[in-house]
Amino acid sequence: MKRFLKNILLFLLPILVGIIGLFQSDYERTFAYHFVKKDCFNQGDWIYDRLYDNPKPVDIAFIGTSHTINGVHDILIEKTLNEQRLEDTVDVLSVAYCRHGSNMHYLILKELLKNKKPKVLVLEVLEEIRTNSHPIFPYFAQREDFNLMIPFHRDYLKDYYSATTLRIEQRKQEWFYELEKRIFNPRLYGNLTFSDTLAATELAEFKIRHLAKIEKNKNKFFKKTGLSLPIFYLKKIKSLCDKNEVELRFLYLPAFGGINIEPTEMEVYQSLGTVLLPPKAILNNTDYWHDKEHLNTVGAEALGKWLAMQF
Amino acid sequence: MIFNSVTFAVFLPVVFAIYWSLVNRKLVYQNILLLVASYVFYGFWDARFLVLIFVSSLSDYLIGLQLAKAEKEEKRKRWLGLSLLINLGVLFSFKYFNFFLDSFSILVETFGFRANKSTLQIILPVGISFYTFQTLSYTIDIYKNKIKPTRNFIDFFAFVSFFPQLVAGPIERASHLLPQFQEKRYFTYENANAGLRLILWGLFKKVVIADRLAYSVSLVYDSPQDFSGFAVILATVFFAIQIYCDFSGYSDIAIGTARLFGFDLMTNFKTPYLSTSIRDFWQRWHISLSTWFRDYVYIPLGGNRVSTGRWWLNVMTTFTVSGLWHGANWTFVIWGGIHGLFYAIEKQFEAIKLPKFLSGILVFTIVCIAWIFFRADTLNDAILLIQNATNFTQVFDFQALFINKNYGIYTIIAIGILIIFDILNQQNEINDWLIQQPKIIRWAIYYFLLFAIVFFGEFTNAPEFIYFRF
Repeated sequence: MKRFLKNILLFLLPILVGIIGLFQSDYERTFAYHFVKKDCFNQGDWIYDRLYDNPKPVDIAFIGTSHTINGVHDILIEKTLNEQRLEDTVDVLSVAYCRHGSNMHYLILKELLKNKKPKVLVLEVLEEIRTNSHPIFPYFAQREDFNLMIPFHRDYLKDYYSATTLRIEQRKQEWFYELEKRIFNPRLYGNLTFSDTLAATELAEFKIRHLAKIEKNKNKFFKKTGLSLPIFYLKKIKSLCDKNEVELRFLYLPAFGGINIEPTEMEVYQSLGTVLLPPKAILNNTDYWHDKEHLNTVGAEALGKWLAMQF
Repeated sequence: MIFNSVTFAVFLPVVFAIYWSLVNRKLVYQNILLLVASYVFYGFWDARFLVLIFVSSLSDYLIGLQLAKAEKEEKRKRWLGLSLLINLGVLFSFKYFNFFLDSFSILVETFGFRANKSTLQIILPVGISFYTFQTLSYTIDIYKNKIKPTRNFIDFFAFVSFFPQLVAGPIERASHLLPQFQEKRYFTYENANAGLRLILWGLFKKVVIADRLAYSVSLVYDSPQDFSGFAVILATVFFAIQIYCDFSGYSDIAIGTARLFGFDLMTNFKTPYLSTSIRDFWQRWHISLSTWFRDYVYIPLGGNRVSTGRWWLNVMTTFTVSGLWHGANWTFVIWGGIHGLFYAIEKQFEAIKLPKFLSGILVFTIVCIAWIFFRADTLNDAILLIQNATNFTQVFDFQALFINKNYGIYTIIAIGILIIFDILNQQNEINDWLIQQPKIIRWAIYYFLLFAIVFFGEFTNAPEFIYFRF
């Protein structure tokens, strides 16, 4: 058995060295963002284009989840703000990405600060802070984003595994196949809304269940222990903002009914920045919701007008 | 849990480590661990089906004991009948109920009557065709006094559910596998190494060859009306290679995994496409199934110790039932029928000796024609493909069968490597050839195979193992 195990370790050693080497080598950003095509309406590809190829500046940036994609009408906010201005203009951009994961918000902020100089960052927050790693994090993360300082979390091994396979995939495409040429179709950035409205009765039923679930989850052990990851990244976001003189604000954009309660981690957010609480009149209006989680076009316009007043 | 998955890559070393370090002291602990691991493995597919395999195992365990106790032939027949009823009944209910109901309805409607049927919405439990045959062979062999039943509950249940061969064989005989559960296994360096080699080779065949060819085959077979001539011919040849690599790859992984635990499973494939007769083909292809049908269907029907007419019937019955075993579709029945027909024809003309090369080509052609029925979704599709295969008016674009040019080139290279290895090995195991090579050559081959699996393996669009559907 000893001889067998020794041979296995000897055999695996060059492979381990190879994997470490792969992590240390550059991970092509074009590949990274392009590889997630067909995910979140090709948002990765569009974010890359807006931040790297499009020279238009960014003054106010919104980062969040699909709640922000649907609910924050960045073009409307920009237009409203610029109507009030005589000389300089304000550029507003939503670089939100579907699904939850504070590590993804940190990555996007890093990319944003690399290429643009925003003055304000508005970060979406929800009723409960999500403790998972964003599933697309391994796609966008560079080598410095994988370090042992990150608190251990439930997706820790999965992220490393995904990152390894993605880097192998990139080398595979580069060495053995022709990397697919990027075909980019420009469209309206950021905001993506739906015009339909969910029935008020369904919203009402959802609200009762949703608020009860949040109340039940409060103080649960697994919730508390999982907070280390999102809070780690929130602090990194704050640190990055401070270093780049970016004002950090939080925008509370919950599911339907969530506006009637405070975010469970309100104290954390308040310690890091200003928390914007949209009016209940907007978020409780049943005509403004495409589904239980996302505002529709009319809702996004109403919220957009209110948001413009905050700047 | 499939063999080419991360879950299995974690599961196997964990079970291996516990098996040889913690439970190695006693046989009963080894078997308990294998039983638990096997149920965990099977439970990953669908936990509901654990009840089914448990009930199937329990019934044959108890029937086996009763069969041995019964002295009167009538009583023994009744117990055997019960085992057949339970095992085949379960198989029929899950696999064939809807098929026979649909076929009966079509027949009834042909005569102008209205069939009011409601089909069952049943999921086919993975591996059911394999483990029911395995347990059936146990009770039949006890009835024939070939083996004695085991009183050890753990041994028997571990034998039935043994995870390396549970979901897609090889279908082991109790006389071969059960005694291995009744003796303590000891770790040997050679066995462990041989096991890993087989796993590596099996993975190469599955993910580098079979799964890459799946794209080209599906392209043609999912739209038979759009392809003709060389495209159909090539897709069929690709399917012949795909199913061979898929199934033999799985078998290699299964046999290799079993070796890691000190078990010896039967060889299931011996370079079948180097066969020079249909008879030879069936001595090399899915050997565990073909020998099962030979011993439990063909020979009890009389085998070849009957009149010519009766012998034809025996051959056709055996092969068509074997076809039906593969799936509840007339295409599988026809596939089996084609093999039966040519098997019988070949026997009639065995006096005619063709050069080996020519007979090899002929056998491969017949096998490929039969594969058209095996792979096609419906009988109409199969007929359309055969018709289109002889139509060469459409311009043939080889590259169109692959995702891109490089993809096609690497696939052809991988097939070339397979052909070289198969010719080198003939009917031997790849292990036998590898251990003769110097260490540096062996390790170079291992790294090459691993590199090929990682960089050329199809993981994103990989279909499941073909034989999991049966």
